[in-house]
Amino acid sequence: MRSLIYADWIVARRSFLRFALVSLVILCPIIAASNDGTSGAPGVMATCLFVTMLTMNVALGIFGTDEAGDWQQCRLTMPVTLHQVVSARYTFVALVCGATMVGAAALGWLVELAIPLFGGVLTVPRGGSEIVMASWGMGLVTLGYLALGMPMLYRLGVTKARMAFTAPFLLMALIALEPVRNALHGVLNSLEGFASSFSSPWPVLLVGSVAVALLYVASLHLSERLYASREL
Amino acid sequence: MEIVVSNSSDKPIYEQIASQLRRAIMAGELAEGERLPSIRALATQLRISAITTKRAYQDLEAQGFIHTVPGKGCFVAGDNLELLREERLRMVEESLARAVSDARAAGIGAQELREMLELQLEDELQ
Amino acid sequence: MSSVVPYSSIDLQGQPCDLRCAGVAKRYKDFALQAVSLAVPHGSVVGLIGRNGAGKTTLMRILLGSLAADAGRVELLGQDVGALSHNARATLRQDVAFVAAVTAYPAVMTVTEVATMYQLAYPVFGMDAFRELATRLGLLPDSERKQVRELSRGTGMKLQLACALASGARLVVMDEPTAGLDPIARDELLDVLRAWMEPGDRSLLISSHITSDLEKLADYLVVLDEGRVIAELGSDSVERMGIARLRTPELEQVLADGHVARGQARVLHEGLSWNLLVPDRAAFGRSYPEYVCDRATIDDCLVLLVKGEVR
Repeated sequence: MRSLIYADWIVARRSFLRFALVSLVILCPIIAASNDGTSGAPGVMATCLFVTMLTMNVALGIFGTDEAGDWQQCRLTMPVTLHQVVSARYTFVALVCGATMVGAAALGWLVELAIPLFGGVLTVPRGGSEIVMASWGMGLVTLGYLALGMPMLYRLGVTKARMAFTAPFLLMALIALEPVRNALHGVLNSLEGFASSFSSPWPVLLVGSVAVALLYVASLHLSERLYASREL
Repeated sequence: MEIVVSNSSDKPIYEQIASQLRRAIMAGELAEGERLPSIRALATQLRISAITTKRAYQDLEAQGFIHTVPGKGCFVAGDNLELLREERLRMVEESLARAVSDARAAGIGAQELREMLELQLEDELQ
Repeated sequence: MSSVVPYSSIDLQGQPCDLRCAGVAKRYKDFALQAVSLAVPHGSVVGLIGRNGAGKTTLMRILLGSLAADAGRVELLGQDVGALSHNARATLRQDVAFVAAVTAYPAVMTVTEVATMYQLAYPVFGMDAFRELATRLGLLPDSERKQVRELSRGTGMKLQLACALASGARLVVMDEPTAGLDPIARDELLDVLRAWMEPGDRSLLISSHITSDLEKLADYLVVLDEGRVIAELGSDSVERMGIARLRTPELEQVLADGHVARGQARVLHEGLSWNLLVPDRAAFGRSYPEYVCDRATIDDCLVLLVKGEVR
């Protein structure tokens, strides 16, 4: 199984920088637009988007490599079971998500530090724990989304499943539109309201983590079954 | 020890190898008790399959020219005088067989062939 | 067309085999493998010959376990693969390595990274052995940092070969390794394979439609055509064989004399004469010195076995 995680790492590593840069480029206008003075959570916004976009890109990228040039057939001739093939992938994706969560939190802090330097207005500085929560929360959302989407990738392959998988992300671009942004802030505010009804948001995150973990494992077993039923 | 193998010869390759090794043994180029290359090493050097060299060695062992010690390899056998004579007899038989088939192809009858042989023998004895 | 009964000259019942399959069948829409049985005796090289589309690749994938057969039994290194758990099968495959017809590693991996991947997958992989083989094949140091997508067909195949032979596997299965290589590269490849086979405790199953390569390397040949095994021959038998070229009355006489056993003769009408596959051309030459009988190459045998009539 280590050999498969290694292979995923080598493939992802090469495109990591590219994805990171692309993600940052996409984020800039979003962050700039979100700092219009009426509301302000550019750091949190950056964090959330970065986690998701980067993890998704990496995940789709490595699934794409499976299909390019028969690699997925080749790896089955090595001493690995199908279970190991799927488990290695799930492990790697989870590790990538974890890494991006950390990176995104750092990025969020940087954004919050940088905006005043560029003469922007940070109406409500969020501060450290908000960013960590956002990062963690978004990480869970991403893993949950992937848990729902990966079985589809295993069953249909990247080419067929790609559209369905990335559609929500194309929708993200709509964030540039004000009505969409307002709606999103509305959702975030109500979530915040919900979270603050607890004395601390951490229990929500913990319960959420357990739920996502269970979902992820269930997804792994489903993927294995679906993948095995395909003839490669 | 050098061996030449021909792809276009009438003789199968294992026979070519066997007869060259036989000749080398009888000429003393391979000493008694000398170790021959392993089946696979010979196959690698001659660039042929191992089953061919195995067959050559099996034939040589059956004829008594070499013997195999399990785990150690193949060695040239001792006491070849009897084998020498047998081999020489074989060679003469082969020559006679060739002469007979050449004669047949040329349309030379058995009686004429015998006369030719007598002539040859007389020449030799003189 | 070729008959159902294989033209067989080997009997491997008693010998230990590193690979054995019996009755393997797989049906696709326009192609089917039917009742394929073959064996790779311990320490030998078996060549699988057949035209393109005869089923060689499909058969190999089934033997390796990366494709499921509809029927049949596969034994790897003495163990019935079907009776093993998935984990046991994967452990068994640590002793088996595969070289595919097309190099299929992830395109962005470099040569060294592929070797590292193998090292993580095969517990007894020898990195030194890999470097030695790769250097001998010319892969290192020239292509050390090249990515898989930058490698030519021949170089990619050399990478697969170096990884497979260094993996510590006892059985290596190769699918058309020499196709697309220039004659010098093919020669080097065969040399490397012969050297690897020397210790005598490894086996090789190699498929090719370039029969001259197999002639120099294989101990046994299995001929596959349209999903069936039509012949199994020892390569020493092939050396004894001949192609007799006969006019019709001559052919009828030879068959009537019973020189070749009834039901075993393969004949093909070519141009203005008949070709007859003769098991022992020396014996044929003695019995019929006036008839033409040439040495038979594997290609000659193949053509007669596939396209010839049975008499």
